[in-house]
Amino acid sequence: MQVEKNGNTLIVLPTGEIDFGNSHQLKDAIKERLDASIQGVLMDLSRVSFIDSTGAAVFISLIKILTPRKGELVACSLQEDVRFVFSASRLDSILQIFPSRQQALEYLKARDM
Amino acid sequence: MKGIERIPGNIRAIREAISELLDVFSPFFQDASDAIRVKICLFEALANAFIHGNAQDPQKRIRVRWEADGGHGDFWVSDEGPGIPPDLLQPGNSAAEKEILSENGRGLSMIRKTANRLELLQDGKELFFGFDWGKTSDLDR
Repeated sequence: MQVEKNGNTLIVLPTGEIDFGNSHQLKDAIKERLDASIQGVLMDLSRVSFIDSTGAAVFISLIKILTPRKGELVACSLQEDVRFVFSASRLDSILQIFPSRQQALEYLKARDM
Repeated sequence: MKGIERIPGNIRAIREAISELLDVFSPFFQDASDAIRVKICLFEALANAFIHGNAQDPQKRIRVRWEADGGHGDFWVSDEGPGIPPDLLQPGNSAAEKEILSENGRGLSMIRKTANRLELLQDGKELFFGFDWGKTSDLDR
């Protein structure tokens, strides 16, 4: 997983499958980087091929951290199977999804993130 | 085709079993959504059995019985735990359906949204789910 900071936005680039065997590590690794200055988190899912319900819970956990800060979690570049999971888990109804990283960053920038 | 798998209680074995089952079922899939529907349900059912049913006990196993042909695929999943409360399978009853930001209780609702058939058997100790190839789920409508 790669993580980079862009202003007050954290860009996370996980790889492979996010499932019950590794979702806790992903959540802990992101939380370690979520210092008080971070308001936006962009999950670039271009290298993620599958997410299960525990992976979906990581996204929800981040939303719960960011919302009180008036921050936002967004996702971009979903593969077809991941898009299917987002629909089945209803993640697609609680966070913004963008076709590309560039479009996601422009959205966050417009929100001062 | 039919078979029975007895999967050891560790994450690696569960992932390998899911991968092998998807390979066995792949000749029957009629479109790409069949593969991801089966994958979602296997992950959710087996993770539920491992984490909640067997309490991650490496000595306890998960049993998966399966049948498949050109029209459908069926799975029966059981573990060594106390079983699933039947009301959790009803639409609207899981934690994630009651509260969309719940971090728990999303697995069974994901199975209901993707499988064509879902049932609890053996007093909740066996989870059955089935697929009609090429047909989207209508269990949640």
